[in-house]
Amino acid sequence: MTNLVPIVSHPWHHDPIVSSAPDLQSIMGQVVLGDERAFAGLYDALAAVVYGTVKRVLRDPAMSEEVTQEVFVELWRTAARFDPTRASVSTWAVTIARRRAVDRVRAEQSQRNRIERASQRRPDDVENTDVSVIASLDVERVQRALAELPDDQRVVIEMAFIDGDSHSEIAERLDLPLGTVKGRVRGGLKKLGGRLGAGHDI
Amino acid sequence: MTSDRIDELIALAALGELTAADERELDEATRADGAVAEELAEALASAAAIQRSAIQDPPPGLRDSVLAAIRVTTQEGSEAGSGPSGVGPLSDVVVPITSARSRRSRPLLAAVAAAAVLLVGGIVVVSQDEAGTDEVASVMEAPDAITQVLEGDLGGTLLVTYSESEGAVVVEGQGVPTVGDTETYQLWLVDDDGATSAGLFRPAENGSVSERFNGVDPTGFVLGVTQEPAGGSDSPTLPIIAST
Repeated sequence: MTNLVPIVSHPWHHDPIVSSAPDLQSIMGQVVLGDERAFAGLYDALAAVVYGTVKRVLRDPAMSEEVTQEVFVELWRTAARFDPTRASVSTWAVTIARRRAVDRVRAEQSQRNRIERASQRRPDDVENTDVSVIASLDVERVQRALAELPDDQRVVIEMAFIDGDSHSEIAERLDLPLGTVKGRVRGGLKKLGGRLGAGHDI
Repeated sequence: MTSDRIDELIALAALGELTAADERELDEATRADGAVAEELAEALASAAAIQRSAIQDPPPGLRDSVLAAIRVTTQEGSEAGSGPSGVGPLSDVVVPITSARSRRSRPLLAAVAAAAVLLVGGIVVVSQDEAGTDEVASVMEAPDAITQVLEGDLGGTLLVTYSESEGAVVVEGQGVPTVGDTETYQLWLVDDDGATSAGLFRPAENGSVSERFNGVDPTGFVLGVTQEPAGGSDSPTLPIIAST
């Protein structure tokens, strides 16, 4: 897989930062004009992130592949609605990916399949991947910020966004009221936003 | 709205679990209060930062399949004359695609135009404003839609999408060779017991295909396309020129 967004060092930052924001944004500028080659670049930059997000929720590889395709078709179709002043390209993509994965879970006829999949833990999480570009920045910083959260919030945030669980699944597993789970998700995200700081939305 | 309710809606947005009603409520709240919009943006960015670390390479064949699919997918906002929208762009981050037509806000396109780089190396896709577009779109945009590429000797690209909830199959294509007045393409459901017709389709003059077939359930079948005399045939005339 081609890494379109090289890691560069900026003199005004202590950490190496990823120059993906301007690059992905300029790619989007071409995508919105119907440039299929630019879209291929967008796919290369985001496929592992989108597929990873979807697979955390769905677990099933074939279904995750289908939903990932649907997400990219949606990114293509709705490219004109992307607003760079409100979200980064990757946040936009991840938000849509999460949403579509949840939609698919909801559309599934068989609740039993879902529960069976939910009981399988995922041994293949970060291995098997050669796309380290976007993640390399995130992983360390995000892990540090996660580690600083109070345990009750950290557990819920990890279940929601690393394991891909719905809030009702988390409530069931931790034996907590739904409102408490949502409150911890919200509280945890607030603290993370503060800790990751401005400009973390690459 | 209470701040507790706003917090709840933002949590659900980050989880991808808003209902349609929740979403309208959150849209209103973000339009009414810029601070809520900022809180939502930050929460989505934080959630995305965690999920971005959950990367995993997709199967290698997916790239070709995605690129084939976008070639036959018309982009929103690519048609002329869509009016400006009063809807805040942030809400678009969490808007389901089904509501997109009524709220066409085009901030990036506008930004691109302002920067005067329009048409540099770009191809503007012209929307096919055909009758029945919504019927086709409702299948394509159904949450349970499954798309497969039809492959074979037929030129161009043909995709077939099935939605169980819509109870219909859509065939979309581009660059498909046109057929004469006395001929048609016919879509078949094929299994060990033989072939059943799913319906007929003809490309437009520009080779585009956009056809919905109701009451067709391809589960367990291979889909095949043949060229037949106008009006179709009771059984396929070989060869099958494209199939799943």
